[in-house]
Amino acid sequence: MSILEVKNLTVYFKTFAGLSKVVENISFTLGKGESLALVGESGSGKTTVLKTVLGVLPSNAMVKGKLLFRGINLLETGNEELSKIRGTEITYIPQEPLAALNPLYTIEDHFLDRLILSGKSKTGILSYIRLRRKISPKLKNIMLKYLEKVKIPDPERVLKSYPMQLSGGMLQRILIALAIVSNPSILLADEPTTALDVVTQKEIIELLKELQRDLGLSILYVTHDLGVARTIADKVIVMYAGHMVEEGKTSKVLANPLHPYTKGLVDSIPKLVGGTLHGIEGGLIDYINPPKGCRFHPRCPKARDICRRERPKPVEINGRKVYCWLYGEE
Amino acid sequence: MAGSTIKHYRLKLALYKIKHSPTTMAGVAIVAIFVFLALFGEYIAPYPEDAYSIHIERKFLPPSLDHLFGTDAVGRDIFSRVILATRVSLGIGVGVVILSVLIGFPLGLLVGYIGGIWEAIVMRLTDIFLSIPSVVLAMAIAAMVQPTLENAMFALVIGWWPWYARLGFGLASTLKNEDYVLAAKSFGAGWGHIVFREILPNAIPILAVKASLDVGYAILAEALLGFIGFGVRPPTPEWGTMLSEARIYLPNIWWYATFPGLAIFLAVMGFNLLGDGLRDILDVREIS
Repeated sequence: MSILEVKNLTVYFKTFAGLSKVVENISFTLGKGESLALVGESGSGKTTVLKTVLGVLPSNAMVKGKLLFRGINLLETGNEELSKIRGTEITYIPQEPLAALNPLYTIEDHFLDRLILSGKSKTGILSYIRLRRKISPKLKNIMLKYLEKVKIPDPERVLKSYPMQLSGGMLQRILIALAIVSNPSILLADEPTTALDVVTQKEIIELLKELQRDLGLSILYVTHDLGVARTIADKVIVMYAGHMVEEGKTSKVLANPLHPYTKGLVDSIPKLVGGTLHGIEGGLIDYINPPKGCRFHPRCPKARDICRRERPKPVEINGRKVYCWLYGEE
Repeated sequence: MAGSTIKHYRLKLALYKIKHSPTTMAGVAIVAIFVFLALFGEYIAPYPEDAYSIHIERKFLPPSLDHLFGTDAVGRDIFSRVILATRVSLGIGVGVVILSVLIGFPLGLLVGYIGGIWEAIVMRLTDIFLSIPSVVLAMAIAAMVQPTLENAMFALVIGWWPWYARLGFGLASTLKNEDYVLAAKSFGAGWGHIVFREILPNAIPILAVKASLDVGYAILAEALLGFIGFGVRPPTPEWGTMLSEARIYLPNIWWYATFPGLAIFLAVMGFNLLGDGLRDILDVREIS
């Protein structure tokens, strides 16, 4: 059963230099309790996809396609309904934990705001002022419960702390707690472990996997780190320059990449033992005048004439999809 | 509880910073003295009735123990009048800034966050106001209406609020790109929550610094209005008006103009030092 279905999502930005064609024809489905990783190098449009799902694109964005959450198209319904779905059903874990919390408020204030915004507490200015002065035991219990869920030690003290008094790992746990406090069905994670050290990174990933299992969360995970994608995601979508290049089960895609770009990515992972690094020649494309045909062809070692003329169609191989002219002709 | 210790910590830190910055201490002391004089002027001034009463037989007495700052053209004690004028001058200075902040700042924050057509309308409106020198604008307005305390204040506010709209606009348009604003938005926060709960508190330190500096300038501008006769009318004691009366007796009756001038100078300097000190004290990111 799919909970989120993205169909032909295309996002352009109107800029001074011209129309920036950042994301084109992205389609995928996210099932209940499933985790999906969007992988690609920086600037490949993966965060744009995530922001589109979240509904926080800047005002110069033009979005086409369909974004179905339980059958409701998030790109069409009126604003009222949207803000309810986004923020309660679909929540978000940001990349930089310290920057994502207002420096002037304690963790308790953040929780309080969050509970009010998601409709779990009474709204209205008077009750708000009362709550800020003294928090009700019921709300406090909710906060403590969720902090314990993300394994925060000494939650009472943490609630009274300001963001800059806590470590990055702690803050990321708090942000996860803030995200799951409204019982969402989809969690969007924008490289939540990039800013953390390796040990903390592993702990956060373990935590996310545990929550996914216990709460039946679906996770859409954006990362440039194939190692992280391997540990967290069931399915992976490899993106290059705003196009999908490959899609399939994580273990299969990473073990046996089909698309030349995926191969290049897998080869670029530094290994502990020996050898020079194999990178991919060239840099990311100009989004205003993208190359015709396959967007990867200028950097592709196996590019042929057809790659320069036409966009590749998806080809299904063993339950995986690959967008490349190398396959499917046979 | 940890929360209360943090609050005490902030207070202690502020006091520590004040103690270790002599200029801030001077600013706080000067402003405190002027506020005290404004509140309790009648009880401190040796001749409180001299605000309005005339003793022509005592005119132009030089400074002495009886009359510390001497007497003026109609025999009023200048020391008492400088003290009594504090309430009017300081009241206008603070009032002008508070009113301008209340009108301009939320407006600027809102349009800075919302953008679009509202930004265009409000910001071009402020451009129009700012293209006219504010003192000239205040003079024009003050000349049209009765020269009373309230009108002098409104005349200054009309030229002053656009600065705060601009400040709020600039702050909102940078702060709205902060990650915590995005995070709040992703949790379904509306513009009210984002502008007043996420952006405004982070903008207050900068606002406080500018506002405290501006109190000094507002006192100066108001003294100027008084000096050219568009401000408070005599015999109401007010520093600018007193200067204007004294001008024709310079340089012989030097004490007549010197002491109101000194009062203006001290008040402006006090608020400037205070503003500079606030810049350091309100740097919230330093606690931890």
